[in-house]
Amino acid sequence: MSIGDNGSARGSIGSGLVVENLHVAYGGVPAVRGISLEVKAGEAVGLIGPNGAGKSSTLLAIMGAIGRTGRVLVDGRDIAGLPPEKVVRTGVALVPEGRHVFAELTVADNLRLGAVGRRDRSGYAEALEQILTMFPILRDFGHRQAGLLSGGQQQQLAIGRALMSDPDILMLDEPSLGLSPTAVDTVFEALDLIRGAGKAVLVVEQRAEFTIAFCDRTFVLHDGEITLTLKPEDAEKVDVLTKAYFG
Amino acid sequence: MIDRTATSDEVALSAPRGLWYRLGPIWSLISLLAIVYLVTLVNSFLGDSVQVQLQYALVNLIIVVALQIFIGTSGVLSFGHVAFVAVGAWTVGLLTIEPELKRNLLPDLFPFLFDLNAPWFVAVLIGGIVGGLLALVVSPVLMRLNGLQAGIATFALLGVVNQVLTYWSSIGPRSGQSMVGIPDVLNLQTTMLFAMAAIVAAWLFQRTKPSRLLRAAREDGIAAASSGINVVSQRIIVFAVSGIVAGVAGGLFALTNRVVQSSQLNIELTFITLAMLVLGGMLSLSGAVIGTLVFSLVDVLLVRMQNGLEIGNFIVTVPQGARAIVLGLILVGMLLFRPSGITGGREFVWPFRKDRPLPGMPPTNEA
Repeated sequence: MSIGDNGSARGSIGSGLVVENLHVAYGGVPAVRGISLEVKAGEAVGLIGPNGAGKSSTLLAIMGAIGRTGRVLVDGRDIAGLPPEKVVRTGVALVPEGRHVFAELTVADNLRLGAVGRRDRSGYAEALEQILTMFPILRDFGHRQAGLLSGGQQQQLAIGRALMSDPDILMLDEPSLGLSPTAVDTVFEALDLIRGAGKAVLVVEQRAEFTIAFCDRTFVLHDGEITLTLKPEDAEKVDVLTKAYFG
Repeated sequence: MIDRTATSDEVALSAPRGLWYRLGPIWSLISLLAIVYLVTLVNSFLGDSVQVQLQYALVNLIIVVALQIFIGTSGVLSFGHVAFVAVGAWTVGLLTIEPELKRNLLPDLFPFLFDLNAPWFVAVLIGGIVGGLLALVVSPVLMRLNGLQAGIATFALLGVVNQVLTYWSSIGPRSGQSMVGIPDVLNLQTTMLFAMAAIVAAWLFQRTKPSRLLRAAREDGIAAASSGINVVSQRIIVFAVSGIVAGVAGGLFALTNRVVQSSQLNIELTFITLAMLVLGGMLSLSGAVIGTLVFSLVDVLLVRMQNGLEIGNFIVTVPQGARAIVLGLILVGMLLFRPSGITGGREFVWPFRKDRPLPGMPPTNEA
């Protein structure tokens, strides 16, 4: 798998995602209050926390889909004020919550649309081939309407579509939501490959234990603030943590 | 990871798609053209008054196709398209009325407009360009809006344009008066050809990149933005294209009616054309065509019945004013029981085809 050829070439100083003092508010009500985090190339970082902790808001704010203050640096470049379609072109991709595939388009068209935000048009065929190798089901169902796929297949498609924009930073909002255990395994095996290929992965999840074990670092969010940073080995102590943080 | 061998579609998925794929089954186009042709053919046996009504219906058809190009593709409501119709009608009026007549009837015109004349066909095309330009000028603001905001803002556009056309006598008649003396050049057959051309243009446009991107964004705005689609710029393109079609329709309206007054190109026409689109199904081109024809047919029948329609030995009459009530009831019933319209937002496909394309998506050659 050589998805990250570009990513690792750029994977030197300042590569990856840096968020500094991010604030988001909905109509004056704060949702994210001063989050700072860093995701390096080839690293997976998790965000966990109860509903309303500000996890999804953090991703949407980085993407530029909602208003924010604070600095967001992609490969050392401040992307403040850019709309989502421009943020994509800086090398950030978001797999939105709830498997937002274009249900009425075919799988192939979904993937083609993902390539709209590519910076490098020439790598298109290669990227498509890599994604189809990673998710063979997408090749088999290339001409099927995306809405007819199962939940796990749609999630694979959503990730595949995000990868078509050739991102250095891949963000996922609850990729395991509503999936069967096998489908979750498939998704996280793919994420492992993507990380191994030198991309920065930022994943929001509800499954605390699973996420802590998978990610290089996991931040616990509570009321819009990072209250704890966990390492993979902390996954064993997750019962205690779950009690402490989620009641 | 699941261990599977790739079995099919490998080449098709990665290969660039050919012209035939992008055009899709031509049946969805031919059926619409055939319907318009047959309706016109049947009408030519029915006497002059029906033919005149059909000509108006065909002009409305082009307006509804323009509406469908924008609303059906973007999912954003527009109450403003009649503004493009109006400037198209104004353009054709100014370019086709005899210079001598213009000097007498429209004395306040900018002097250069007196001698500005064009053959009617060219005038209609220029009317389309003016409609498209107006759409292009206002679109950077309007196309950022969604839902109710977009509805109100486009309605405001109609209001502004209508006031300007009503009161600015340098580009038209003095307030309250109408533009008369438009030549009698347009017959039913030519109007039919224009309607068919509008359908072909809309059908082809469905298959272009802006239209495809915008349909995707209509389905899911978040996913579209995350995929790098700039929704606003795609909407601007589509809005301008539909403005061109609406402008052409306006020019044809001027040539059909031969008298143009700003009050004819206002709220009532807006709602009638929107009702036609809703009736047929706003997500498909077939919906625009079917909706317009069905609505017009019912309308004509009701007007006849108000005056007493003879069927054999019976005379069917309905009270005066029943037309508006019945049309309103049909629309309410439609919205209650089949909000996606007669066509359900689907396009016509070959009747023996096994798979049915989903609503809101033009059929392709993919199985």
